[in-house]
Amino acid sequence: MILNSQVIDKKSIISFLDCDRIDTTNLKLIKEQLNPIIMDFNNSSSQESILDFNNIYFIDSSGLSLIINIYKQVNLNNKKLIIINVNEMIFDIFDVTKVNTFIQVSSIKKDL
Amino acid sequence: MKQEINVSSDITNIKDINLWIEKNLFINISNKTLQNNIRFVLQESFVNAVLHGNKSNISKKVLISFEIIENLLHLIIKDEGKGIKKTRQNMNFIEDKDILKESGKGIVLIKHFSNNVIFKKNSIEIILDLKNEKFK
Repeated sequence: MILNSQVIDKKSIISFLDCDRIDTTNLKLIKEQLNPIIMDFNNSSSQESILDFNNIYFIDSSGLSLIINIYKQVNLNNKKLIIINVNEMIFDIFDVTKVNTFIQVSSIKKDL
Repeated sequence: MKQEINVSSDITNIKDINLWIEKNLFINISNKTLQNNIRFVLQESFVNAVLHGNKSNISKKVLISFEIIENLLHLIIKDEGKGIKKTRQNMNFIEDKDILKESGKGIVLIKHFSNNVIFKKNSIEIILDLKNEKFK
């Protein structure tokens, strides 16, 4: 598993293990693991899902598409998606593509 | 001196391309941000060439080359397709109506992380200013 999911204070926290990128090279694997986690979250009483990007240093436009798709699934259930621990380059990508206008993105290092 | 690599239209070749660029170009570039920008535009362009240019036809090739002229990096990615549509070439930013679209953001990002982008028939030339980098 390259993803770890846990619920803390009714928040679903998803972190990436042994994975430093979300791009064309590993998109299929991440999708396979992330989609069931998001489905479980949408069927739970949790209201916030937090994607921890602490280990992620690279994302490409296919990774960005995945994030937008996850947002749509979460938003459809009136829940919230938050991305934390984003590095400078990924923050820039979220800014240029205006993803940060509908997903709360934080570049500040936060310990969970 | 111009350097080039010719690879088949297989997305997994990005690993070899990254190794090639690290070995041949990054040994002379110390700025990590600049390295990341180059890695990003190269990967985006290669994936575009494979998926949209060569339609994932593994027998078709993608030719990648770079050359440094007066401290400007000229990175060229050439496929065997019909070229990028004019409407996509002209995209400079994401319009508000398109922010939730799951595709069509690559060109805007390539332009953002480079200094100039020139579209030719079936190739894209990306120019990056290497600023204060000194080359051997």
